[in-house]
Amino acid sequence: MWKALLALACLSSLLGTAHAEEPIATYAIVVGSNTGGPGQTDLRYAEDDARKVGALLVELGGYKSDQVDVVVHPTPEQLRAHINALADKLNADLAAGRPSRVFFYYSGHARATALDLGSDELLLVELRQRLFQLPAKLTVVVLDACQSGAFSRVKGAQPAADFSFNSRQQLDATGVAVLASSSGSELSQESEQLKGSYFTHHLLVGMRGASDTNKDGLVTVDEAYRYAYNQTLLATAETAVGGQHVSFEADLKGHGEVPLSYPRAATSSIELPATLEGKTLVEDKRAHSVVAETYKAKGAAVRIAVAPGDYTVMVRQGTTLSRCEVSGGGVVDLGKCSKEELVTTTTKGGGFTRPYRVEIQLVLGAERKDGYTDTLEAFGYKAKFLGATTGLYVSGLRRLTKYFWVGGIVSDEATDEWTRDTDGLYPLRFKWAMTTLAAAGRAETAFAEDGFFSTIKVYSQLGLGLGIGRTTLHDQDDMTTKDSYLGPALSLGAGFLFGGDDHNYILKGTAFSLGYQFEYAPVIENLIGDTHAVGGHRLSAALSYSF
Amino acid sequence: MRKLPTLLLFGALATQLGNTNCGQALRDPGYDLWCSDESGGSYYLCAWKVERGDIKRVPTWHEGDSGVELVGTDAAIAQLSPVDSADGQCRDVDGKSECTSPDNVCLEFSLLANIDDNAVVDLNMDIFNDGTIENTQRLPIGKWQTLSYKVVIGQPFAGIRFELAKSGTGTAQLANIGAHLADNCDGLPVIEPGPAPLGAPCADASDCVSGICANGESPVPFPGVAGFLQPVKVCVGCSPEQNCSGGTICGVGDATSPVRAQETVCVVPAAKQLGESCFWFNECASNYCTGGVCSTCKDNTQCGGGEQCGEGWDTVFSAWVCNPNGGARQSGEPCVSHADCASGVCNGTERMQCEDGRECVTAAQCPFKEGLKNGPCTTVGIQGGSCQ
Repeated sequence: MWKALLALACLSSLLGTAHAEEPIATYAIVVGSNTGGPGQTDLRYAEDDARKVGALLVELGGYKSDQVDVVVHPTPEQLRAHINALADKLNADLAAGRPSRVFFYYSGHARATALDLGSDELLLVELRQRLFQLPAKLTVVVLDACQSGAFSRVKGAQPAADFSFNSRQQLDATGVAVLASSSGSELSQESEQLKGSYFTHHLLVGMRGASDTNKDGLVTVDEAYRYAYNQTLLATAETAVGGQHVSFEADLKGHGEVPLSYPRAATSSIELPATLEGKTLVEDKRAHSVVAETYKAKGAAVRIAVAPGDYTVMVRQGTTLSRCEVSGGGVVDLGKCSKEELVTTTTKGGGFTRPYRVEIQLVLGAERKDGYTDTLEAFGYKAKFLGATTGLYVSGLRRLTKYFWVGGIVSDEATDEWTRDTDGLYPLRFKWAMTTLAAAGRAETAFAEDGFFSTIKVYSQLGLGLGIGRTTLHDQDDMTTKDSYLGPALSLGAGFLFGGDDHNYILKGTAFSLGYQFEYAPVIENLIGDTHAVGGHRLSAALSYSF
Repeated sequence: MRKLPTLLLFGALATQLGNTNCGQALRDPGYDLWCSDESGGSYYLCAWKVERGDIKRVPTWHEGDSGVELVGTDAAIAQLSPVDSADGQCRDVDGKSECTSPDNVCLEFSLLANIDDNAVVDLNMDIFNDGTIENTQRLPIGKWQTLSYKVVIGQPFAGIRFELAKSGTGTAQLANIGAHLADNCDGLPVIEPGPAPLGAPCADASDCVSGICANGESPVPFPGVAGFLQPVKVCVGCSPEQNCSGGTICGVGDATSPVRAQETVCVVPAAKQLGESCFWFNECASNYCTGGVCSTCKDNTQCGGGEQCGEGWDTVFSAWVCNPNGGARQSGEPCVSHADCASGVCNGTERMQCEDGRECVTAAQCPFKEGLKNGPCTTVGIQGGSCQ
């Protein structure tokens, strides 16, 4: 990465004032394609991301709307046509002696060798050749796609060899800079919560000012990259796919900064004060969309350019969430924000702090009466202690949403013996047990969002699976006969759960629950044709640990 | 000495009223007592007697819980129960047992039956075990139905033979048959026992086939009834007051049922050998009937040389002989055990008898004891022996 930073530093110093001091033509081609190729799942937000990038370039990038060509869901041929059209414009500018700059953005599926544009593909070698042959002074390429880092690798783009001199005022830098959302071997990820890709989101937040570390009101490629690199890696580190490393390669000559956006030009902005620290999220109240999500460090104010409107700024500090309403821009004043204790805290990755749970549950209850047990009684058998059943359940659950968990259950239950006395021989003793393998779904919700009652939840659970019934009969000669049966198994449960998540009753993540359970598994049969539905009404007590 | 059996009888009566096992009237209600022959090859029911046809051990609701199938077009199993008309007459009242006079007995039968269309199964009751079926219940067709019947039996009686008889080509499988004393039989018709055979309990002469109801002279196997009837009366075939014809005398006959006393019938005088049961001295060839057994003496006066008259067998009902087990008897002299003889050999028939003195071959001939099981039939000595 140090090579990239070195290149960026040089590039920024060389080209930074181009927008301000020299008439320069700026053009952008912004491409989004949700459709996946063979064997690929369609993306949900690639085209939206492209639209957002196009809008931000107009809002804060210094581009006129007719200079931003947003291309959605193109075929390779269509994309070639757009690039050719741009080349015509650039040639015209060149002929007129007007320097130009090109911004190319792509969000969609890709592999190490090509962009996947629906069922067709555009080889990276060709794309690179077409973009690099554009007669522009500077070409910035941003790729938000899987393995997009391979774009640089296809033709050995390397950092410029000599950027040791520093002149921030000169604008004669030429070349290309490539910003890619992931390395050549990584996957790029979307977030349901952000409603976009992690990389593009953080790139845009950075361009809105969050990455403007020198507070000059201008976001350079260098600043945007540093910001996007860190925020994307932080956000994706806790996802199932794993950390996503933004990459940067450049082949530049000349001097000056490479500006990407000008937050200072915005008519409205939200300022996060120097004292604010914590994970911060800015939500557009009208659009119900996340404008910015960033971790704000203490020490320096951050200004985020936004369109005029009403925003909610949420700042999480530990288990406290501050919710601030900001209208028409302004400084966030934490003292005027409402505060609440978090019950369940989401991560940057759209998951949960403790998304997994293991649970050990004990159940006790009377066994269900049916034709099978009637037959047993008719044949003279009597159940010990009301025919009670005891069981042990072990379950593993994965949290899908705030209220819903799914997972699997393994359980084993056994009844008390049923016995029949004999005339001087061993009593006949009969019992059954059942092992169940089931898939389970559980819904649970707390009684309150904060306070003591937020630690108490009510839950309901459904399990469906396979029951393996086992019977054992010891006859009058003390000979043992064992049989096994298979059948469906259903369990329904509800109850109260105390603790869990980050509540610290005993140990963070531990919880105790009490509940009722009904089980029904028509599994065990006798020779007469009766089927016993193993189960009945149960009381349950469980201990769980979430992690 | 003839009072001994009666004393023993009343001793037994003092400890037992009624003759069932905690209200149960049948053994092995679950058909669990499957015995195998010596080779271990075939099984048969230990507590039930196969009277006709054949039976087969079959699984019921579970392969490990057996029932019985009556095989063939005419098959029957039976069990003799010692239930009598005194059963159920004693109940706990405030922690004390209170008994009422013998009354009608309420019995409830229950069983599980798997009977198909082509089979007919009857539950027959033979009161007194005399071969006369007093009541029959036809079992309905169905698959492992739980069946229950209540019956009321008039008094006095002792012993019922329960028979499950099947006819037809269909399948008939039975399990879990039980009979126990019950309540709430009010309103049900009373099954009057038929005229009682010899040795059965009776209240008056009209109860008996023989027309004679007399005080019991031998131990009776129905202590429950006997506990209420003082003196104990049984149906007899003769009495000293009603002379036997043809030169016979009224004496002890054979024991025909474990639920009835030994018959009192006309017997040939002086025909019984040493060790056989007797009422009167003139039944015995030895001319002595001591303690209900033909003996060689009744006291020391019949013994010479200072010998003592005593019991030759180590049992309650024993032949009395001079110098028992003394090894003094010479060749040709009467003896009841090998130890009586100087030669050590007493030639004669081995005597096997029940605890009440009746001759037996198997335990099934002996009166019932605890657990609805027949008492033991054991070898006690030599009957009608003479020293070698």
